Amino acid sequence: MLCDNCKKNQAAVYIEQITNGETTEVNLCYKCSLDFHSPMFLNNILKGMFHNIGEKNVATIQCPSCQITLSEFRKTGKLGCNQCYPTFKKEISTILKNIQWGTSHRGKIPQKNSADLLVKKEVQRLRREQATAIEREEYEEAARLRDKIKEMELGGEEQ
Amino acid sequence: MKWYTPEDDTSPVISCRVRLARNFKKYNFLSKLQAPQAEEMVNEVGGILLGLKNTNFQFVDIMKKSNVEKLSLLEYHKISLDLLRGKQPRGLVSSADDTIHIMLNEEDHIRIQSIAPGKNIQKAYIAADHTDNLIEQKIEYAFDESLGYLTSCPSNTGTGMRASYMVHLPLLEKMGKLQNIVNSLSRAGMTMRGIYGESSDSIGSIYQISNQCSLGRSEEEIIGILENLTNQIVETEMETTQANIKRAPIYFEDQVYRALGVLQNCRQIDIKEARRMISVLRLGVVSGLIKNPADISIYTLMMNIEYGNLKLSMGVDLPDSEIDVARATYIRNVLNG
Repeated sequence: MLCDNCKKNQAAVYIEQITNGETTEVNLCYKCSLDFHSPMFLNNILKGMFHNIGEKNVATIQCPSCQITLSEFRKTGKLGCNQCYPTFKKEISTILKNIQWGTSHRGKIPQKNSADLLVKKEVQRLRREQATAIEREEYEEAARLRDKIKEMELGGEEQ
Repeated sequence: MKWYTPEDDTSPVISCRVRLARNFKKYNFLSKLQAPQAEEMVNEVGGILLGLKNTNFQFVDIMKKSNVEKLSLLEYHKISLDLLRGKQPRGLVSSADDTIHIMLNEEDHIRIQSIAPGKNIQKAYIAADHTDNLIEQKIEYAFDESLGYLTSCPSNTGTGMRASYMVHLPLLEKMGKLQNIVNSLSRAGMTMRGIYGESSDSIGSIYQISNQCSLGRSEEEIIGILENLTNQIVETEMETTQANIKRAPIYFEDQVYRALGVLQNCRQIDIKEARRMISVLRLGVVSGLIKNPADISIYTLMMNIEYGNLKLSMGVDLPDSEIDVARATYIRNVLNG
């Protein structure tokens, strides 16, 4: 079978993709397969979401650190640096609400330079456990957790 | 892939993987990173990993690899298509036992990937987490108290984690049950896709179940959801297999032995037919009807017959017109002992 793209070389790579529910099958030679840019599934979803955000000042909002503009971000779905997060806060928040479980991180925290944050997150976690214990009427456990929270908060202040 | 053994052919679960996306605080993300800084970043992380005590990391200079070698790394799931196609300075650091592959300057500065055979997602996570801790001692990550690890694309922010199971689901696929599963997974913030291409239907019936969301739940919670949903899917696949065998035992046996016959005797075979036949062979082995005649796992066989891997093992000068013949020869050799 010949390559669907160059029609010269023997097809060696088989690619299937679904776009808007339609399956496309492509047989390519190795050389052409390297240039084949299959649209990123998630990026397409993201790009679709950007259309829901107000069109004002799209070209002029720019990250002061990496100079990426909001319109560039909308086009590619990619941010330029960590400062883009506060710069495009409103847009990113809309995206996160649509594609994520929540907008608040509950996972791992880097150990370095994060002693205060680790205490804060642990206290938050213990408060959630305490609330569950109260709901279940496990008052002894709730009291134990209350004391532990107090202890942690005092420890944090002393530090 | 030395750690995939024939013992892994006992369940629809093939392997599991955890990927952690991390970025430096001091460098711009990939889209705004100049080539000299990209090179500096790759060298910095490479240097850190190679200098670690009690570890055995090796730097793979992806920029100097031939196209066939890069394709082979992709086919063994050591690198992604984005890393293969990338134009910027980039790199790969792999552990000697082949279970950790760290892509440098892919979509994010650092992507730690940890793989384990079978149902071992906890083990894969512990290894990825450990590697992450080792790197984190040396550099400052882009991290936000409320958003977690900051990534180039907001879809990965939070934990930066993608945890996945690779599963073989020939019966659920055949019975047309996959769309319903994908819909249910999606409601739980999870997803499933065929590993060959973006299609919901995948030749070879191999799928990857993973979390789609990465922010709002902890790593442990995400892994818990993945384990739970994968268990349900795998149990349904096994029940469906048994029900099919019970209903039409001769048909089932016929399909498996025909596949084995084709694979052990073919003289030329294209990739699509080979994947289909090897998929049926794996079903026969997992259901206990036949023993794996090879001394490698069926999934290793499926990876080894891909274009890049085949070219590397049969000779890079092999013309593309002869690839189907070479594939048939390789499969016969493996399955006939």
